[in-house]
Order: sequence, then C-alpha cells, then structure tokens
Amino acid sequence: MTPENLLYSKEHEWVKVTELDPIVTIGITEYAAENLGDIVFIELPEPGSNVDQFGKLGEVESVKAVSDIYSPISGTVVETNSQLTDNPEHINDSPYDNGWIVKIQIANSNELDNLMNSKEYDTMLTEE
Amino acid sequence: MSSEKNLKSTSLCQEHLNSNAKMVNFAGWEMPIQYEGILAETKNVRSIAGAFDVSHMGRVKITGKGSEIFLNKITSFDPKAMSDGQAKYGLICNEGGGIIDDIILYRKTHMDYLLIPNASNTTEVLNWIRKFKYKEDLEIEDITESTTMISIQGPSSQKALNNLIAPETIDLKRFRSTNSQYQGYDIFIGRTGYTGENGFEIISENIIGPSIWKHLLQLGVKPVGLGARDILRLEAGLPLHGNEISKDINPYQANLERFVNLGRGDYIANVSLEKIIEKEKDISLIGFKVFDRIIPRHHNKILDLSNKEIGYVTSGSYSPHLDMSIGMGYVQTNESRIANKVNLQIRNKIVEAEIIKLPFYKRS
Repeated sequence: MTPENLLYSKEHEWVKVTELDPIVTIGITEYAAENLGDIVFIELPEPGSNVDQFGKLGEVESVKAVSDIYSPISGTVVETNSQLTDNPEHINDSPYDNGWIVKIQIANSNELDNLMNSKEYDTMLTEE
Repeated sequence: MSSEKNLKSTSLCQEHLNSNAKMVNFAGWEMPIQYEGILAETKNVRSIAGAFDVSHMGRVKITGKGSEIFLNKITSFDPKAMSDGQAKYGLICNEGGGIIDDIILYRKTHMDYLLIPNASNTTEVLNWIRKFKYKEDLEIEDITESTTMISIQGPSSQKALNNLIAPETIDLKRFRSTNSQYQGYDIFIGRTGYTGENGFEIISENIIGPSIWKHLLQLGVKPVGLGARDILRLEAGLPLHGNEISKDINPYQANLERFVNLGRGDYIANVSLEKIIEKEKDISLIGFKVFDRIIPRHHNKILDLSNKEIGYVTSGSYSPHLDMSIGMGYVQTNESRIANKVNLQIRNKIVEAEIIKLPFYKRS
C-alpha cells in the first residue's frame, strides 16, 4: 500500500512533510525498492551539501545494478540515515520507515506542488 | 507464454510464474532471474537446497562409432580416458587456443556422449564442432529444446534426490552419472554443479519436467533464479562464459590448465596451446575482495596503487558468505600474487581491493 501521508516523485522517491517544519524526510518507494532487488550499498550525500529538485542525491546499489536516486526537493541535507551504511536492506524491508534516506531543509516549499499525492502516484504505477 | 517475441521458454515457464518469478531474457530464453530475492535464494542453496531450471543450457548428443575420435579433436581432454558413466569439465578451444566455451561432457559409453555447452553458446559450439565432423561415423543431435534440465544444489540435495526417486536410491560419486526413472519415464542424473555445493542435474523429457520440479518444491527445495546462481558461482570461483572466458582468453590465462591434456596430435588446439604454455603468461585471472560494499562490475578497470591500469574486472558482486564485495578479473601476471593490494575504478570512485586465493567459498 502506498502511504497516503507522503508526496511522490516520478523517479519513485517519497517526501514526508510535517506542517510548519522546514525539514522533510526522503526515501524511495516500495515499488522502487522491489524493482532494485536486494540493496547492498548506498552512497549518501554529506550533511551540509545542497541539492536541487530532481537533481542527483546519491546512489543505491543492488545485487543486480546501480541506480541514481534523485532529490524530490531542493534544499540542504541536514541528516543522513547512518543505519543504512551497515544495514542497507532496511530500504527493502521498510522503505517508508527504517529505510528513510535523508532529511533535507527545504529551500522553496512551492516545489512541493511538482510532486504527486499517493493516488496520483498509484495511477502512474498502473500506467507503467 | 513468452512476453517478448521469439523468446524460447523452457517446460518450467508456467511453474516459475506460479512461484512469482521475475522473468528476463537470458541468451534468447525467458528465464527466472529471481523468485523471493537474490540474497535469500543464495542462502537457501548454502543452507538447505535449491532447484535451478538450467534447461536453457545446451544438451547435445554425440553418438556412433566415431564419437571418441571426433571428441578427441575438439575437447581439451581425451574422451578415451573417461570411463562409462563419468562426467568431465573441460574446454572447447579454437585452433589458436582461445576458449569458445567451457563444457561438461558425460560419457555413457564409448559410442554415446552428452555434451553440455552454455546457453548463449550452444549454436556457436554446434557450428564449430560440426566443422570437424567429416570422416567419422557419428551423429550430432541437439536435444536442448525437447528436454528439461533441473539442477538441485545444496547440503540437502542428496536427501531431496532420494525422496524424489524413492523407493529407488542412488549413490553417485562426484562427476558420475546414471540412468534412473521417474513416474515411468527415463531420466538421467549427473552429480555436478556450478555453485560450490554438493548437487545433481536431472535431465528428463519435457513432458515430465514440471512434475519433477513441483515434486522438488514439495520436498522443501526452494526455487533459485539466475541472479543467485551468479553469486553462487562467483563465490565458488567458477568462470562464466562471456565474463572470465572468451575467444580472447586461453586456458592458461584463465588458470584452467588442469583441464587441458596436451600431447594429443589430433586435438585441433594442441599446437597452439603447446606454444602458449612455453611462453610466460601475460595476464592471469585473479579473485579479489573489496574493502567496501560498493560492487565492482564487468569492465571496471583494475589499477595498481599508483593508479596505473593493470587489468580489468570480469565479474563482481556482493558476497553474502564474506559480507563484502568480491570479484574476478585479469591483471598483468606480475601483479597477480595473493595479498597484492590493487585499486578498482568503479564509476568515478577509486576503491581499494586485495587479491585473494580462489575460491571465495569452499563448503565445509
């Protein structure tokens, strides 16, 4: 089930926005994790680095292949999920919870309008 | 059944779909890359037993009085030295000593052999060997598409096989084969494998393939896809055609000289290989471990510690057994010693690796 409280990008990242909090949490969707297969390595950006909306955020490597992950929003990385260094499989097991990837202080909240809600994301998946 | 046009499918295709397999095009065949997940399947084979559909690999019957003379010309070993029921791993090389394929040859009698080339290569091997069939009295018959080949691998594979063919039991030594029966159909069983585990191959007519497969799954054997198969063979240090071996590589570079018997005048690669063996090896196949979980991939460069290029990666993956990334590749022979530290260029990163002795995994 695609969680209803998140926003989604076309590249299968999710964003958790808490009202009045400029810091959002970002991860990849269950669909993306399942398609990547067993994830064994993740390269995360350094805290403090700036990212652009839909620009490259990092890399996830599964047994099968390596894929880029893109930032669904512009801003500054404030925290990365250090658990993932030793346990990247959290992304497969718990993509919306323990498998979160980064927290970003957003630069421009208007950019959230470029993202999809869960219904729109599900519709996109059925069309893929 | 095939979603892509002109893709061949094995008799087990529907069974794979029933087990929620992800299917991919592999060498023109629609094959399962994974079922529950590559790492879980790898673990199943190492701890219990796994079943692989290997029907895409070639099965070529070579029969008739001239079989021995013919096979002596094309295989890297002498088929006359084999005993009935024996299986042998070896190579098919071209006149220059380049490796066309690695194969298993089963000898049923001196007039009845079964050759197992790689899936991607069966046509090329057939075209090649047919060139050398002129005088001898023999038949070459490709039975790949009319038969099913299932591999059972893992510590419980003997138990699973016994339960499968009960009340019959078989006691096969490694690299031996025998005939048996399943539900009234003749089956052929060999004890070989490509995983580093104990295991068996069962060849049957297509009609009985799905019954054997379903029966194995009922016995607790887990289905395993090509993704896990690649990790298992890499951990076992076994070469893959197209990665470690190709026509540009000779058996000495690939450290496969123990599978080559020279001094056979009729062997078409004999002259070249005797010349090659006298020279010093320019490049050598190595195994390495990576001090990181980033995965080296085929064609990544291998560098010395001053970042001068000394070779290339042929295979890489994450090893569940070692819990780190591993790989194989070719480096200049003077850099190939065990414990030598090298760098790998993986995309835009330089990652340290150490050459270690193959295999990465040996069953206890």
